[in-house]
Amino acid sequence: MSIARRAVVLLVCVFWAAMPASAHKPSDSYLNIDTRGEQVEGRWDIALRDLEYALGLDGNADGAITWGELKSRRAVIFAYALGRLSLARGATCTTRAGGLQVTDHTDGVYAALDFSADCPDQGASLTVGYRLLFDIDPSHRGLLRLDSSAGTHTAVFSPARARQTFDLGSVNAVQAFLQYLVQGIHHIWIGADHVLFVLTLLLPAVLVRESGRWLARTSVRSAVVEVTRLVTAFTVAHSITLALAVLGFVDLPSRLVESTIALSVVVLALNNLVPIIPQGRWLLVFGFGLIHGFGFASVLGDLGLPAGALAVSLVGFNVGVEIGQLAIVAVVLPVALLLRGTTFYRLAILGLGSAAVAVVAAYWFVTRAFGY
Amino acid sequence: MGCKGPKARLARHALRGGLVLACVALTPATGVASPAYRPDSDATVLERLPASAELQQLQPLRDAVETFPNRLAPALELARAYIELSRQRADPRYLGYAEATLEPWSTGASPPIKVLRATIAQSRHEFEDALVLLNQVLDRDPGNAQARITRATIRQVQGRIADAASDCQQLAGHTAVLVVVICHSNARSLKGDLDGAYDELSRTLKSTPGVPATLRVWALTSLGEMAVRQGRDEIARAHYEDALKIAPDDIYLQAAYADLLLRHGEKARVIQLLREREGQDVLLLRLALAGAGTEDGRRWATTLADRFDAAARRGDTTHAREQARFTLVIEQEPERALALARANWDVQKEPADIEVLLRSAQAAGQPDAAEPALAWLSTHSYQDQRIRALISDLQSTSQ
Repeated sequence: MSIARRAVVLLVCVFWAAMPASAHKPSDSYLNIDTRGEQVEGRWDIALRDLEYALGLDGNADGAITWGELKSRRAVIFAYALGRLSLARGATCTTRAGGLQVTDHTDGVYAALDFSADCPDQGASLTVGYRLLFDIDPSHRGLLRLDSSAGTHTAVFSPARARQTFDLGSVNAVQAFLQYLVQGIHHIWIGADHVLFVLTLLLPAVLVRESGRWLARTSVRSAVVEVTRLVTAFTVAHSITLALAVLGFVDLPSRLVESTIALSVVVLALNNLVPIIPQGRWLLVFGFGLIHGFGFASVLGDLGLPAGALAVSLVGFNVGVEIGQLAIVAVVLPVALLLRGTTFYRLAILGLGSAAVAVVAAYWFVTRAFGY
Repeated sequence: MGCKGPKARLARHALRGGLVLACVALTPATGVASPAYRPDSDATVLERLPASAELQQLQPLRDAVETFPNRLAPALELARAYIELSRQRADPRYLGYAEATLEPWSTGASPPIKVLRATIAQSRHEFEDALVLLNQVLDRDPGNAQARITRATIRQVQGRIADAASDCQQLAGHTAVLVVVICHSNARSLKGDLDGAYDELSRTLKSTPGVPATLRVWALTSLGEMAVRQGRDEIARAHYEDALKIAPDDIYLQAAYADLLLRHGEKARVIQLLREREGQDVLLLRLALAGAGTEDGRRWATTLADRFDAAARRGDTTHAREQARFTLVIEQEPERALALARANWDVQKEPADIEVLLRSAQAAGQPDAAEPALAWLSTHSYQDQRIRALISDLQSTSQ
């Protein structure tokens, strides 16, 4: 090697040596996995630059990647990425491609890949095998954020740590029960439709219909028996459908459920004004309870049930709903009992009250059923 | 060499581990996914790839490596090209590509591969890993100039000035005289002979005919840095400006020049110079400093904070020095800055590292925290006008 050539080679290296480290960010992907629902859901942000280097996205080679170019390679991108990610929860999960979007990170635009995974087993740990880009850039890192019922894990995947296992928390049964119990109470109290339904149910229970007129029940005991009968009918009914829906046996469209719930309040309120079914109201309430159960189920669906503590959480939620209901009864019933003999109670509270409830619930019905 | 054996390995992992811990623990965590969206039109340009042309130029070489996986020459050439790109673009992805190219050869003992792998490690501030490789090469081949100068640079960054000077001396006869003099005068300037070092380099540069551009830039940048420490900012400015005429996009040089301008309150000039260079964290810091108190400055600061956050998530500590300075001056959190500066001091000991540690200790009201740096300064009879002023401030605080 001539002196000159050697000097040139050296110079390049001299300069590398003299320079401080580079400033651009090295390659990272951002992998978010959520195991709190029944299904494992994920979003994986991968830099367009990395996808370009690995797969070549720039179709027309003009140095710019357009949304059209990215979209047209959707299937290839998902196959490339998901082929380099393995999830196992008890047994190996099957990953499925979802939507493709884009997102901004501090060093440029990334493809955001939504995916889900079917895991045959609801195991208490998740093993993630990650090997995206390691073959072409060993300094690539996968930054994981894992949300599970045990909390949030973060982890970094590198060629040396390409496979890691995370404890999803063998969910503490007592904790899950209490947590969902609180959710149940909370839900009944913030759900105006359920509260109005229970109120509308209670108001006439301290009265009795005789020859076309409302009369106060003479004994407190008979009033309590009537309330117990009604509340029990409602509870049994909505427990049945809640369980059926959560366990996946029945699935009704939420628009139908929500509008029927509103309609049930209308009917119950009108029945207080013009009693169509003065006796045996519990049967009507039982029927409506079935519908309300589906409403509770959709709330529970949004919350997500912890894997491994499904039954406990379901029962907890249901008990919470009952406690919430009984609390309403405990407040309203003594007052109703106290006032039941007055004309004020019959006309203002039962009459006007039911009419107002009917109007409000009719409005809900229209908006829910027809989407106004 | 002190970097062999399990004990030393443990120690160097502990050192780096400490810096990672500090940077991660001291960076406010977010980590929540940013919102995803679908662009309105297929024609929307999502990303421009400045590097695609360069990558296409490398395509024949990439093909050669793929076709002849058993040939070393094309792999070496491609790895060198990637490293050169990483330097030009200040883009660490290319270091990763170079590493992947060398991967099949990484278990071999070939000196050129070890030197390239050491260069990659050095660029990532994995100094101890780099030294292990360089020591292996130099033990067998003491005349390997590339290994020698890379090791000298690392030792200098680590504050092992006498070791660096010894490497520079041993370069003589193996490479151009000017390279030896730049190397040696840099080390000399840091151990008590600043004026002599400046004069030696200045004289050699003038008397050497036909100096290649990259080497001239290196010499001028070194002269500028020495002049700054001599307290002769006007001379330093002239050196930097001469160098910028040759290498206007040189990040290291731009950062040094911007710091000089900032000291003299020339914020508008800094912004004008670096406005288009937001992509470089090192330069973005100077922009944020120059724009402090303005709308642009706030935006630059936010972007830089996000970048530090992203780096912390992957455990990257290459910019601990910049992060300490950012935390001190922009975020004005002296205690957090001090913790970062101390962790950084364990890894690198250059003038900028001294400065940020002293300033943080001063601002945090903990002059004792600067003790390791003060001890290093006195051992090396280090000369620097501004650092001297900082020390006397610090000492008046502690009294």
